[in-house]
Amino acid sequence: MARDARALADEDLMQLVRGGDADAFAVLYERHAAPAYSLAYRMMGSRSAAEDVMQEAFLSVWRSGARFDRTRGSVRTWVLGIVHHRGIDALRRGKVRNRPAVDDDGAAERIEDPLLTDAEAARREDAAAVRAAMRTLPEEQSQVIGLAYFGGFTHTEIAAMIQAPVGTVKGRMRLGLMKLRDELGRGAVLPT
Amino acid sequence: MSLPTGPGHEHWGDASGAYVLGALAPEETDAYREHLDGCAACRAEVGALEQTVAALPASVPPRQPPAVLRDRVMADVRREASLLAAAGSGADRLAPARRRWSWAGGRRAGALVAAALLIGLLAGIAVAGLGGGPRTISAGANARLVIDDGHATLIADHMAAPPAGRVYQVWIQPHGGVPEPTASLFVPRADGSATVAVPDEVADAEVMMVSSEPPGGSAAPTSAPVMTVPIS
Repeated sequence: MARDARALADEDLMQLVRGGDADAFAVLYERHAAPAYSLAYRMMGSRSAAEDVMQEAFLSVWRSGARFDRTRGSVRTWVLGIVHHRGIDALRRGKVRNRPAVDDDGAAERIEDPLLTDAEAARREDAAAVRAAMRTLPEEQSQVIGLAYFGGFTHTEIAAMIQAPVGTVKGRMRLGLMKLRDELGRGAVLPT
Repeated sequence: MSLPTGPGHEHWGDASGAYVLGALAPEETDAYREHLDGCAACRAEVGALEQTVAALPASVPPRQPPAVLRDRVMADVRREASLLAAAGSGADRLAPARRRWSWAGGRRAGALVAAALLIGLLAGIAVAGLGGGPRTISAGANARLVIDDGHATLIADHMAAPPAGRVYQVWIQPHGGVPEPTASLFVPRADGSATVAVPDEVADAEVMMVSSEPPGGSAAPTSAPVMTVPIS
């Protein structure tokens, strides 16, 4: 079964997962665990907290597969959205508010896979494009986007942290994302 | 060109970015969603920015998740899949509550333990790390029970597959009691390895056992245990 499942598209695997097919779920896990874990680690700042978020998120994917709507985007976007929500929940529960800062550029645990599939190579190109687009934003905009998305802070918390009016923070978030959208649209790397 | 706006648009005009980033407070999120219902302009903007936000995870440094995490997730998933299969296609996909069947075959417990001794699968037991850290209970060369922070996991290698059409079930025997069934059902992977979440009551139990049972598990064992692990 598992061998057959590997030949299926994500959306077809989700149909099987809805019916309780654990082998199909295992293939989905293999495909999406690395980007999901990368996101969870970036948010939580530690292996143990990232693993807790991953466990919660993937069990949620398994149990709530029926909620996946292919008209609203890809399976990967849906899975990463669940990981993000679980990460925000964990951060706001206050368990890891004092987490260490994450080194984005040279983390010791970072592992590079020497054998890249074409799809993975394309994803890495997209990742480079997203990072490049982020660098085009004014610091004041990328700062509030990062604090909100990866840090789980609300706009009022961010306003207090950077000593700026709440309206200013909201405006920076909106303008920053609109600029990011324009930059990414040029390279056509926006996910479905 | 421009889409029609809804009531309160002036108030919510800047909130789209905070909303798609998840940065509104819960009560604000609910109120903003109500606004979105009546404001085509904001709905369109949110739709566009949601796509942008979905690209943000690609910007983080790549990391490989540890293999043990996959084992933990899949142990839970396979256990639930077994329960689901046993319950039929109409079963609820929510996480199963931990089950406690009534014991219907207590007098067989002594015989079952004796059978395990006879078939030579009761292995040398070593208990280590009784302090605050993880506690590992060895069940011979090929299996161990790890109890860490209230969570118990059975980890086995080179385990034979159960007979066709059956799964393994974990049983817990409390001190002075008889073996009780658990919802921990599993089938080893093709390489004979298995990682199984076990109810944390096992930490205070006298014996943990594993036997092969019909899919969905049994209220009382229907076969001799293939593994018997004295706990304390």
